[in-house]
Amino acid sequence: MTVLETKRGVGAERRHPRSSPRTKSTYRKSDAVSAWLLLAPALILFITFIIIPTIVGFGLSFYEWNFFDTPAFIGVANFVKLATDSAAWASLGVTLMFVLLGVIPTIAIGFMLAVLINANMPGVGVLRVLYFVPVVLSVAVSAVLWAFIYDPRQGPIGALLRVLGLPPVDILNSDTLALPALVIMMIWLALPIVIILYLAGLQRVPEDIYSAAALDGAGPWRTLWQITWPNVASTTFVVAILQIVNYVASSLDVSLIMTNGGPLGATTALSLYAYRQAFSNQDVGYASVLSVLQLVIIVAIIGLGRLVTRRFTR
Amino acid sequence: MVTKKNVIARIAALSVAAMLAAGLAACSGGGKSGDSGDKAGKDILIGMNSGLVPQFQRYAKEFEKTHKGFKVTVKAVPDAQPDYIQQLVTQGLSKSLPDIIFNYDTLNQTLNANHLLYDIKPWLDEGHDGLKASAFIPAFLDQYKVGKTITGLPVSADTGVVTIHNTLFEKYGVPVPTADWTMDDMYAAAKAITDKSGGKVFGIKTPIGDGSAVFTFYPTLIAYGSNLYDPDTKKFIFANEGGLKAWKELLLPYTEKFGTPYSLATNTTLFESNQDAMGVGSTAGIAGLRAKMTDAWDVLPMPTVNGKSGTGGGSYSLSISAKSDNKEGAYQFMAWFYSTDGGMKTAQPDGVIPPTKEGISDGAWMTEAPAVPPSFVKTIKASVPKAILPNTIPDDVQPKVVPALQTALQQVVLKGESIEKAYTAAQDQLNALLK
Repeated sequence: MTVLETKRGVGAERRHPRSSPRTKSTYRKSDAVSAWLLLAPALILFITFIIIPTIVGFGLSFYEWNFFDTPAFIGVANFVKLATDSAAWASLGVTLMFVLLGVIPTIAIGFMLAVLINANMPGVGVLRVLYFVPVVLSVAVSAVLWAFIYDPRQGPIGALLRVLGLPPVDILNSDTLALPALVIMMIWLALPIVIILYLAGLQRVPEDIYSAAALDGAGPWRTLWQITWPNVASTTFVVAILQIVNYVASSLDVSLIMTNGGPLGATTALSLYAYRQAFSNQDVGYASVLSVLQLVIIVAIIGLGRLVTRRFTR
Repeated sequence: MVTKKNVIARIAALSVAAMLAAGLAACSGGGKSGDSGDKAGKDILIGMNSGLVPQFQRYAKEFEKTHKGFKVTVKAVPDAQPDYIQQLVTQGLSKSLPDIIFNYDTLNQTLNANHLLYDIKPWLDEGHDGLKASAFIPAFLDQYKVGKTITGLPVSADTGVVTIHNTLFEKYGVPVPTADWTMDDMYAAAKAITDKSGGKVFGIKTPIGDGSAVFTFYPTLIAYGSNLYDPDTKKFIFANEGGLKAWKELLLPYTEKFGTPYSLATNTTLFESNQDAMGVGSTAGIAGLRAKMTDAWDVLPMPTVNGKSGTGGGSYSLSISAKSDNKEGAYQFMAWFYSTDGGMKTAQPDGVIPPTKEGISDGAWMTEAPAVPPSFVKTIKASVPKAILPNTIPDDVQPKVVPALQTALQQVVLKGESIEKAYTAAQDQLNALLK
């Protein structure tokens, strides 16, 4: 008997100390009822706010609708429009840039900070609080703060450049710097949740592995990459998926507030482009097609991620 | 043979179809005006721009005092147009559209095309409740005319004006301009202040800004014989010879660097924080500046351009919802609001400049205006009759005009593209969208 089997056996016994007289089917039925009852509130919300809008959104992509009139069925015309819409593909490129520039640094910085915060050292409590500050700030407030930081006349970056005798750089008005600047802000916003997830993962790494590694003479760097990092692989997968979704979806609020998608569309991600199609151009059908495309991309990335993880964890 | 799998698949497909049909049915707005519009109910719901809600709540209370039994509720609508559209849609779906809608001139055609606005022209023609179309300043009322219908009444005759930071002019020894100035005079004063301050103070907050405020550039296009859209040829013409001259003139503060640099983040506090000496704004913003300014300041009319008026303007409106069950009651409120001894009496101390002929010549805003800025009354009186307001643009292309112009502006200012190339591309893009 394996350790896992022993644990399961003990657990089952504890849960149902007097379950022996019950038949197998009664046992399953009561479990199922309880499970459905417990799941029901979340399930109702999930179906109402995620599943139904997704299905309706997919359906609307076959219609021409401006919010006010009766929707008109136009078949796949919106999908054909997508194929020839260079602005949509450009916004898809911007979305991928958000993901590429944002996800890996968020994971790397989040992991390193979680390891540091997880250590028992003086003042770590204050550090933990400081790293969680962005959680309590709304995106709008953060955007004002970061717009000030990037302001070439009044912000600290501009001041530093002046001290160094360098010309001011208008970061948010540069079509090459605006997107990385927004990504930096998004990393800052994303870090608290990443740190929390990694801290939970780090707590689960057995202490005796570290003791064994220390006995074998492994230094801190080797311990970090050969013990800690592989042991939080499942957390990394979760973090990666969450962050991909975050960088695909949340780029809308950030770029809408900070750069309004500019300059010259440099920060117009697919989500913002879809938002504009719907609410500025009142083209709900086409916006739905763009949202479907975004959904397909997210699902594809997650599926690919699962495949890769399975292969490596086998 | 029908397997269990097939049955499940059929049920799922039916459910999806049912949900979709229900969703679409719920979403479709119909389009006919309400049938019970002639009943004068006592409950009136007004959907108002959030910044104006406190004012309108006050007007509502005043109305209730003189119209016994009426109950007027004012609810906020979002400021940004995309959010505003979202709210209208939501209210439409839940059958809770206000009786009186806060309406934008840029959105009027779209809302009208979608049967959301009630045509009040017949009531205006018969002088119903004492309100007549002829009482309004034509340029402002024209913004809410669609064909032979009138779908809204302008609330305030807001025009473009130039705010002058007298203290900064004095500090840098630059003479304060006079009301009969030209665009060249304005730019010369801006250059002088930028130079004399060593770049610490901007001579002017670049009037065109990010290109989103049409009133800042439209009169210049007209002054050079161009336009945004030509209703005769049914084409966009802003990149014709006159248009290119106009854009060149408008972009000078950017291209010659004597105005505030181009910015996506609209900084609206440069004037009050003593960082720029002049700013082009709407009269609607004067009340806010009064509360913030500590140094001496004044307002002047927009300078003339190419010997013609450079004053733009516009106004939001009050429109009656076509879906309202209480159009008569809503109209009664509007008639009261525009009456000299009714709503206008209450509204003028708030900075509302009546968009009526009588209001401009004899309104209480002239006698009750605060002492600062000193040239306020004179400037408004000079500006309103000269205001040039945009003509109508086909509603399916209207939302794409400002974004196309903003892209052209960014290409010139940020990428060094030529004015001709950038604006011609924008014009071609918009013309291609015309059906």
